[in-house]
Amino acid sequence: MKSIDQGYTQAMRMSLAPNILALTVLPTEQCCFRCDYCYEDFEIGKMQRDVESGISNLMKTKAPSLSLLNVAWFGGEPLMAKDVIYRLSETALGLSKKHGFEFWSTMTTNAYLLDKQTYEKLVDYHVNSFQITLDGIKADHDSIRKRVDGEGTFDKIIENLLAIKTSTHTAEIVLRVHYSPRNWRGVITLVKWLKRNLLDDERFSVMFRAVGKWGGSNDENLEVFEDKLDMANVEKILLQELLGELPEKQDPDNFYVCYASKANNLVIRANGGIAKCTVALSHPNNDVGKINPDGTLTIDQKHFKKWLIGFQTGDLKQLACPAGAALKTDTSSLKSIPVVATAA
Amino acid sequence: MNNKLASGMIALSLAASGSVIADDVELLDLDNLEISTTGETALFGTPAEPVSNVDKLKTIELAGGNNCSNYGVCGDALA
Repeated sequence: MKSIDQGYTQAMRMSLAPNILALTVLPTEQCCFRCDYCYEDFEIGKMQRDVESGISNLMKTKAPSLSLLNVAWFGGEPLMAKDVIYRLSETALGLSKKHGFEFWSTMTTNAYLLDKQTYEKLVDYHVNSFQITLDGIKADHDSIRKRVDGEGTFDKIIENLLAIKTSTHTAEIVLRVHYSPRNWRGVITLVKWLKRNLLDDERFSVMFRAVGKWGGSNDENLEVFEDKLDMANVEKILLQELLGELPEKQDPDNFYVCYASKANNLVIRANGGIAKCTVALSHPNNDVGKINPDGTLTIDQKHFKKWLIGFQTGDLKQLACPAGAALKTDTSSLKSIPVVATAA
Repeated sequence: MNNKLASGMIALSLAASGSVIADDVELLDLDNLEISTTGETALFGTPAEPVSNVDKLKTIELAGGNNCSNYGVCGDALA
């Protein structure tokens, strides 16, 4: 049996396994930023207590049979609801100790509120990976990733990153660096700076992502790479600047399974709605149920199962991004699906 | 130098593709799958089996699981 077949079978078993629970939690859908490419509408505010109770009760119900609980904190900007994160993390940690399952979490944050003290507290709560976005040098970044009041955010983010670097707490800090026709030359300068000031610390790493038209209200005004070859060439330049050489090609037997393809992965929105994809948040096919205050789930079976299509067809592209099939009733508002973290 | 690149991140432009699974690999029968009120799945009414190797799972998850939402290759499906 080929390794890809074994990996596929194992991925399907893991996706269905009742002893794994992966929650992407949006403690608030508000954000202190208004990035040019953002696709979120900010119509839902902070998570209400009955939704928080629902998540706690779900964790309590599942705890005796769990081997692994993973929480991905997302938003909006999750750190605008630190109290929700701390309370739910406290519950998860307590249950993890009592029942002996593994608990760890990740966070996608704009880092504006991620001071050293907050970082250390979150690491103590088992957040072991942060993803933080930069949009090039200060001038570019400040014109793209703005606060709600229009002010720039670069200096504060960098201040926080440099402070975190002085911490002895260990977590992975992935700097998601966006590039577009508008800013990519400045990204080269940013990478040089990052290498001198942050990347000498092994906790920090970089990933490059091209800006896309992800369904936001400003899509028409965005400058994006329309030509994939142009995009690839720029990415190669950036990778060479970062690494000094190009990374080896991906093993063809490796494949990626999107969290949305997994049956045991739920996105819990601030209003208690359950989704599968964190990008197409407003699409009706992504409304797959709700969590009740007692922790039970009301599931729309038809909508939910659309997202598992990759395990039914064996199509690796659908496993990597099931949105194309799951949303096929109407894809007019989405030209591409970015990875999960662009909103923060 | 490679530790400067986020683990698991392979640039879209450099990623190999075209792998397919074998015809005889078991696929999921979604018509007979149901999600319970606690989020568990059952096939033909039989609950799905737990998986046993947590350490292995954790490794896989870190490399390409939920965390891979940060690194994934999604993006082309609706292009």
